[in-house]
Amino acid sequence: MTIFPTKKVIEVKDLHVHFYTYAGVVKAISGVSFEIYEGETFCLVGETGCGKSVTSRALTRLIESPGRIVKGRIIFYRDSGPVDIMTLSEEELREIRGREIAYIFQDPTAALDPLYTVGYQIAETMVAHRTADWREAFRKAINILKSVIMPDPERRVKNYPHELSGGMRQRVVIGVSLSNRPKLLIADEPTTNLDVTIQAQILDLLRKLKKNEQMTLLLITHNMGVVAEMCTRVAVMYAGKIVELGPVIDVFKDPRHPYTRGLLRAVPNPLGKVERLESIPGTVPNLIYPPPGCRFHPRCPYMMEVCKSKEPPMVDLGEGRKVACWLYVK
Amino acid sequence: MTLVSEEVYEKKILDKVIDRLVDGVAKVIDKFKPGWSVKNRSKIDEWKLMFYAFNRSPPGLIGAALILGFIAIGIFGPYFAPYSYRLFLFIEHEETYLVPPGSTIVSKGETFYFPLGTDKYGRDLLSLILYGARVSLVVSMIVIALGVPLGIVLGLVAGYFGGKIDEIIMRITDTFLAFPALILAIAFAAVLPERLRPMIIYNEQLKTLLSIFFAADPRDAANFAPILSVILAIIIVWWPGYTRIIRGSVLSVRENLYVEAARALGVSTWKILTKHILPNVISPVLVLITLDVGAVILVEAGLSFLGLGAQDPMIDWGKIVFDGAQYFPDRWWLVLFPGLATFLAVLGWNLVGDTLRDVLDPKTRRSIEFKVKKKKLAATSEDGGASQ
Amino acid sequence: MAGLKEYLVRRAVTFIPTLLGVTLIVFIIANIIPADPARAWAGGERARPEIVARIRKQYHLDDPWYIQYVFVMKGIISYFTSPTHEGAIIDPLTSKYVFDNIFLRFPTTFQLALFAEIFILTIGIPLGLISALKRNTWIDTFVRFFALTGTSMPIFWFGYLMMWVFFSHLRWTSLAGVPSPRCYESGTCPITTYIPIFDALIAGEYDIVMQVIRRFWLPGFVLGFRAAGVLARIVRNSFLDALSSDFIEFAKAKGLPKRWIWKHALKNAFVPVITVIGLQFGGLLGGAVITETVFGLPGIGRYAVNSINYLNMPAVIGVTLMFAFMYMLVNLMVDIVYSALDPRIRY
Repeated sequence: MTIFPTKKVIEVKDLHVHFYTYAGVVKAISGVSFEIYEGETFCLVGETGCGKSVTSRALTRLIESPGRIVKGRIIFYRDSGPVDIMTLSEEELREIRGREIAYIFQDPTAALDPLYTVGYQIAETMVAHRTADWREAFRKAINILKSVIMPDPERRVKNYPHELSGGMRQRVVIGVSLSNRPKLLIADEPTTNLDVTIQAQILDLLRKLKKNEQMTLLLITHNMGVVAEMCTRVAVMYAGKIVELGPVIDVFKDPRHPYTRGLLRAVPNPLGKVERLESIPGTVPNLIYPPPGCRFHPRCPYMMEVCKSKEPPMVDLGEGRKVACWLYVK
Repeated sequence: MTLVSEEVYEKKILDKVIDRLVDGVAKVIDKFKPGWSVKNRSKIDEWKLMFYAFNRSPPGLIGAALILGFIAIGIFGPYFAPYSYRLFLFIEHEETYLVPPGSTIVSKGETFYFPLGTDKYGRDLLSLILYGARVSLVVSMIVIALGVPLGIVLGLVAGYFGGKIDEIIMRITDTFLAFPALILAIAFAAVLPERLRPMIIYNEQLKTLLSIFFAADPRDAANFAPILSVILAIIIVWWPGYTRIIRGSVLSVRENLYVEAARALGVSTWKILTKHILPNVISPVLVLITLDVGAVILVEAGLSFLGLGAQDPMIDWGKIVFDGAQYFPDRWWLVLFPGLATFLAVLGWNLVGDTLRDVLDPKTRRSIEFKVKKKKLAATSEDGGASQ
Repeated sequence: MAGLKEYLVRRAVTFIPTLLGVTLIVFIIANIIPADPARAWAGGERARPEIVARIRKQYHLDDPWYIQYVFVMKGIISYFTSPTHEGAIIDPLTSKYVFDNIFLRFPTTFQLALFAEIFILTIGIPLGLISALKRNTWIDTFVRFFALTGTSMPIFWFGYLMMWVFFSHLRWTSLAGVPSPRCYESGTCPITTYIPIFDALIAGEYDIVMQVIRRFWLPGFVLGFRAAGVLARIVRNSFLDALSSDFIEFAKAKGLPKRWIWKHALKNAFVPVITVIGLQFGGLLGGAVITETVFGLPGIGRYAVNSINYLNMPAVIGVTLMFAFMYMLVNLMVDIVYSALDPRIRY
């Protein structure tokens, strides 16, 4: 039933990101590995603070001090062949950002510079990557606004961000990201700050654009409904690690990791029947002093002795499914 | 351990002293309102935490030392002054005219020692500076004690009631703010003394009170008027800033649900203003008040440097420079020492204000608190914050 | 830019009530004095009674306060509306029009403020930017220290200290007279702005320009010192705010070159900075009075201080109004720049 695409777009291997704060070193990401295939929608889900956003930003090394990528490889498969993002110079990275890998951020209000027109902000993305000169870029900006279904694009292109509604601003942000027809679009909680009705419109738009432009989409969300609706494959993150990964239908129908099960019981499961919602006992661990062994063990109903001391390996369950849990180690 | 959180803090002597102090104050309040300290446990701990954070800042501690010094000299200085500010030694002993610092003068069988030199009347500069500290302290404290509450009350009223009252208050406020502050203060300080002088001279109680305040001889009562005018003038230019800030914060706080709830429950307006709104708008002003004490000292010194404020024989720091400037740079001590005193006093308030800004800001305070925490925590803890 | 014109008109309309309120306050100030200033103006105790009586009549000192207010207002307005200054308010001590006296001294105060503002901007802005870029290094600490020292320094004390260093020892400045271009005497100035340094520059009298600089740089530095440190801190904080904002992160994610990102950050950082520059101007004018006294500059501030000593209320009224007007004008200019920079401000 599930399609297994073959061509990789990006591959992350054993990524570690640390934040050096006054309180100590926050190990935000510890050993995350996954790959994204061409044409799919890959989802990262998890609670707030589990490292989804950091992972997505690390893909183009958009990690600001005090954060640092301490370990890992990120292979990006360009048309001209694979490159390791970690070894590129700042200038080479800049050429990839916004052109081949583009982002949509969570808060469209804050992502746009209040002092420039939206047309300018779309146009500068093209000019910066020399895909158009200024005159052409401004003309293209209107078409881009049209493609993100902005009403009255000829007029809107001259508007400042504060003159637009939240939904329209997010359309502009999407337009900015699409302006150079990127290979990979990373959408970081693109609908969280929007009204429910607008959320559906924006998701619809993303799906349509993805189809038209043959893009690959990395979607970050904490909303299980969005995952079910949008994604091909999903990776569930907990406390800076991926705990389960697989095709979205399989994972939702038959979650293997205790955390995924808890997560799906905590929200109305869009693909299954749940009698009543339950919460996962306990809280997200402190990432300065993460619990030894499996990071989920203090909250896990199936906790065994081994979980307390040894980290579980990633177990391949076949059919593209993987889970990091001692329950599945033979 | 009396802290709410389970985190361990490394305490130095100063922290322990302040712990005792805070506990002492809490006990005193407890005497008047039994059960207060139990009810406000977390508040007391919060205060202690703030002091710990403050104690980590060397500039803040230097500032606090300067302020304590300024206040101590302001209160006790005049009593320890070797000579009175009214003692014109020059009349009897001509040798005391403008002598440099560290001079010992022997004249007509009497020996005088002037550690900081003398002025043109043969007055001891050290004594003058000690008397001047009193004037600076009194002026700045009265201005802050009267001007700031005035501004806060008007801001509360304007912001809470809105409508016509708001319109009128803010019109007046804006008009005052249209002036450069020092210019307006100069104008008021110039014209007020004529009006105030008879009031002081014919009012024995006021005369006595002011002579205690300024540590001055009641015979100089006529010269209290210019200083009182300076106080009034600074109050007049000082309140509008507070009115505007407080009104702005009241407008945003007023919309909060708890205020609306209180109103719906029929809590009296007075109680809403004092219990629910004031505490929430006052904390951003605290830093400003600290910084403004310094600013008032500067304005006062500036006004008396221009010949307003203290008149002979009354003295304050600006006045000493005003008198001594004509002999500058040959008789440098008349400018250097009073100016230095002013600078250090103002610096103290500014250092404390600057540190308080960091301490009161939750964002920066966390980072300071982390530094205070014991390093040991890292080694033994198995899951730091997981156990809330 | 039709919007801008409309905005200016609207601003001017709100300008007038504030200005009226300002005159009212100034008038209250003048009326606080119960003592009879006429005697002081006529020359003190030995003044002839008929002269005192004439002055009392001339300045309506015996009339009710509203007649006095109308008289003062008329005296101010008619100076600017009547070409012959008929009925304009007169300085009782110099027997000249008050505003003639003020405008005679205006260029000095203007040049002082100009030099101070140059120091504020050229020290404050670069220092603030460097301190933001080198956050939490020694240079950041230095700027913090600099700002704290500046705000704590009594301006007259700092003035004398600087004078001692740069005049008494180094002789890098002069303290006497106010240089003015030769073409004022000969009447050959190509254009007259009434500001000596500009006129000398236009007339090509560069030696006079140098003299003006020599005379004014130190007072300007002393006057600007306080504001420069404060401005540096403001620039630092608002630049850091801008740099950490989401749109800068998004600009990086868009792959913009470094210089473009800077442009976005700087423009946003300067929106609040401009307001601060306007507000600081009030402090500058107040400080100018003290600085003029310290350095013996015959500006408007000196005129005010001298007038106070002689209870010369017409002059005090004129000067206070003049300063308030200058302050309001600068803030109007700031508002215009602000609205040109920030599209969120509605015209």
